[in-house]
Amino acid sequence: MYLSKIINTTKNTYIYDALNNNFALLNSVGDIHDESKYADFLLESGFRDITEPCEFEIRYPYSKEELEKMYGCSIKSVTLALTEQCNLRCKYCGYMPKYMDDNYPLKEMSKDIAFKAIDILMNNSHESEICHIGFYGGEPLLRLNLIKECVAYVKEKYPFRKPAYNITTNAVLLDESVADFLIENDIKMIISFDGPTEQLNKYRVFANGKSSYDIVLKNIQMLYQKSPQYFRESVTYNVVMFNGANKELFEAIDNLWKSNVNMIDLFPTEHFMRVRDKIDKAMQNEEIDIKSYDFAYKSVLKSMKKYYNSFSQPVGNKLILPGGFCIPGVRKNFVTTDGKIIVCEKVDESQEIFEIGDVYSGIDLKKVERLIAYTLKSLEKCKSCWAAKFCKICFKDIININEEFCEKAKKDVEKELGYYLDQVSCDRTLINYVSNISLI
Amino acid sequence: MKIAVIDTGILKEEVSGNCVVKHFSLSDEGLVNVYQKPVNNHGTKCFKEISGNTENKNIQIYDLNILKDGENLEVSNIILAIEKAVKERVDIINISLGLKNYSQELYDMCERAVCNNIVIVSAASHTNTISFPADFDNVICVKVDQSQTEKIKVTNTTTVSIAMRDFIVVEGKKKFDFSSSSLACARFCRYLCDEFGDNLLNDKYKILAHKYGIYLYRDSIRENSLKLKENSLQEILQKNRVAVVVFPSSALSQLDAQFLHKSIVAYYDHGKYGFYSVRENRQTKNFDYILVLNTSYNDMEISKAIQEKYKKYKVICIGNYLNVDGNKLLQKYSMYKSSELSVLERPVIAVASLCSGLNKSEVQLSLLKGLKKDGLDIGAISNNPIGLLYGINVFSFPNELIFPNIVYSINRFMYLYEINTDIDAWLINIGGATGQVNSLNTYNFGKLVDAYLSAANIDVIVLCVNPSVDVEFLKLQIGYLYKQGVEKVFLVLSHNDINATTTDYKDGLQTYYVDNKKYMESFEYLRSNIQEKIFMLEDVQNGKLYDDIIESLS
Repeated sequence: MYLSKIINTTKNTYIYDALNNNFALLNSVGDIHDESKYADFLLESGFRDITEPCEFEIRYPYSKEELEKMYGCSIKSVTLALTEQCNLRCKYCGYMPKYMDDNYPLKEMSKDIAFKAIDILMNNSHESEICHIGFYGGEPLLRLNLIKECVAYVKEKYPFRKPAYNITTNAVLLDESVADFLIENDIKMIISFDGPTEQLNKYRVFANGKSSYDIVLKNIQMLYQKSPQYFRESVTYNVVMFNGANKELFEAIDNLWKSNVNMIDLFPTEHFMRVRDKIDKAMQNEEIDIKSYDFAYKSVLKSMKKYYNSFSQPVGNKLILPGGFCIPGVRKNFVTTDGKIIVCEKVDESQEIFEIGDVYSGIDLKKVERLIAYTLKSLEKCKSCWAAKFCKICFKDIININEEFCEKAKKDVEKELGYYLDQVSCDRTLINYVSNISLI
Repeated sequence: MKIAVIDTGILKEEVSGNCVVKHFSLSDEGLVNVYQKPVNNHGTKCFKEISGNTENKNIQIYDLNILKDGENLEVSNIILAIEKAVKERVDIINISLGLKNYSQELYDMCERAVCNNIVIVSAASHTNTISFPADFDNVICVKVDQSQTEKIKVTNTTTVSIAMRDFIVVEGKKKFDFSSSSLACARFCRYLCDEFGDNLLNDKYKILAHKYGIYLYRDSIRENSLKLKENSLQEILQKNRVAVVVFPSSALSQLDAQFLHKSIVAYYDHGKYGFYSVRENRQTKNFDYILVLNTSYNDMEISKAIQEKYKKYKVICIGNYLNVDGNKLLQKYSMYKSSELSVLERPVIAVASLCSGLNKSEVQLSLLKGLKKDGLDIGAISNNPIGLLYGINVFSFPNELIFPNIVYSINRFMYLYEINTDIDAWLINIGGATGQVNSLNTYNFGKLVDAYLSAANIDVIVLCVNPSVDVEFLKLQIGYLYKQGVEKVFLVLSHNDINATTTDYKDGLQTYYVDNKKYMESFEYLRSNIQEKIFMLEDVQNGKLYDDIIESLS
């Protein structure tokens, strides 16, 4: 079978044609595997003959000239790593090897680098619908003064502009005066907090092993009491699902007063796999009813949007770029403490391939082309993959595309596609809901 | 003459022999022809004010008692009573009471009465705030003004005030005023009984207009004034020296001092972080106003620091902003009301596009310069604030397009503009797209073009298209324009294409600048597959498009 897949759900069996964006309901898998039945099926359904060899053509859609133009007017975001230092030592944190290495000097961003990064954004974002500055770390509140200087710098130098700010913080240093500053300057907060109970935050600890929960909870409550409205509109939680999706966690998160929540899959670092509680492993893979939890159900329906879009288009296209690659240098720009511009904060910044410029000379087109060339090379095998169009692969994955990655990605697509075909595509209310989801 | 008194009921004992009163009261079946003893004397007092002094000897009163003992006044009962009055074919409805909350159903019921040639009079709020139905634009609102010398004073097109000095009681040196807007309402109702007489065929609204200058919203809503509405932004531009801050900064490249509005004296240079004079290009502080123009359709956030940093100047933000209303000073289509289309005489050239971000403003400005160079006076309209710099009439893009009102409004503006300004032609840049651009903005983005097509006979449309446009889709769009009466369609190929990753953006698709190779390929492809003449942006700048339009119009 070429660029196609039999999707078995609890209710039905479908055949999905990735090349033409098409699917058909089958009586059984025999419709495909039995030669005579298959011939009848083709005749009746007009489906593409999936035994005929075919493959996708993989191409990056933007030329050098186009990217150059975008870098002059359409940059959307910079995220500043203000410091590599953190006041917590969360056990699952990817930076733990650095924190445990006494010889590794934890670096801090200078004011000059921060201002230069801001200039790159402000001077090259005039035609962008978003203009966004993120404060990131380590723990960015350790550099509160620099944050204040950045905000003041923008006000003074760009009096007619007001970028959207956000800060990703563990909230340990969130006191009254910090809260006042954040509210006054409309800085949106992403609080790393694994849920409202101590148990859920057991891996979020100080260097001495003491839990951060009590302090953080008290600070978050203070912020809430200061302005419930700000809280509702501007506070998002980053929740690491160290136990996978489970009822206890989902119920607790669903009830929170918040603007949004990002449920983050655990990245199993070597360190964490060594130190994690044994009981956690046993609790994984609990079956949960997503529909019972508003935030989770909304997220599932949002993930259905790409399937809706795909099947709403009249014809399929052989030319594709698999996955969800953004435009390097436009959508996200992670600025390291020493001024390198990395394609995104989620990639492994130690890998040179992800470096696309620096704050002194801006986005380097040659480095972007290097990243794109590497990406296209690593996507070779996607040409013959039925799940390529819906795969979540992005830059952070290109150095790790192995069998295990592909198997998981295909399984995820199979599950989502099955859900779309079974639950969404035939439900008019859900189709209306999904079609009206705006991704901005 | 029949008068409905919607009130707390009329006491039977107070009805004299020369006046017929039919009593109705609330029951489970609605308003039924049953007398119910009033819970207070409010209705009776109003009744006596109407019937006691009228010169009209043939009045019949419909007592619509809508208040039950121990219950509050309900909007649903007022609606029920007006409905009953309409059924009974009364001439005037007196409502000497009201509610603070707006009700669309009540408004609609009043409108039904108006359509049946029934005049509704209602008492203004006793607390000088708001009261419905009195404050609807289809009801005459009656107030008391004991200081006025006139018997009836019309304070605006739907409001009258009455002097009721006979209600002032003097005891020694003290004066007690027993008047109220309720009784004033009833008194005005009595005046109307006298005025309307018994001729059933009279148009009461015409009498109100002629006699009192009262104009109520009715089947014809065209305003009598033939003047264009004043616009405070245009006034600012007439009387002050203005500096502009333009977003996106690339829009500054279009600044052409020769055609700029004479009040624009400086611009903000985003690269040099300062204001520079338009003519000498020197740093300057010599201006009174700063206009911050967001010319893109993306909502921008504006810094609160501006007012502090530029406190010597008046700063005005125009366009789409997240944290200020940047459209409030722009002209509004809804300011022009009519219910009929007027004949427009000047030729109309319109610029439209398949989606937003396809260089419409550049095309309009280029054509405008050509027309002005040829000595023509142009009526120009745009929804893009950049037009303010060139004296174009800029209308805010409506949040909601209500048909057919929007069509009448556009037509009315263009008609008034034609009779107040000596123009040779129209040049209109229509905001949004010619049709649906994605499933999230199906209405506003396409329908303004429809409204203009209905409001004006567009002779020429310049349709801006994106390089990856589907030819079959484009043919359908062009066909649609011809079907709507457009005589000639020219295409302009934009250098911007739709960014596919933004197809799910609710605020409009984003575009990006395509490279020259793709641009030329697209141009050649469209030229060989579409009958209409297609121009590159370069052809627009060097006047080729202009020449073709002039040739086609002549």
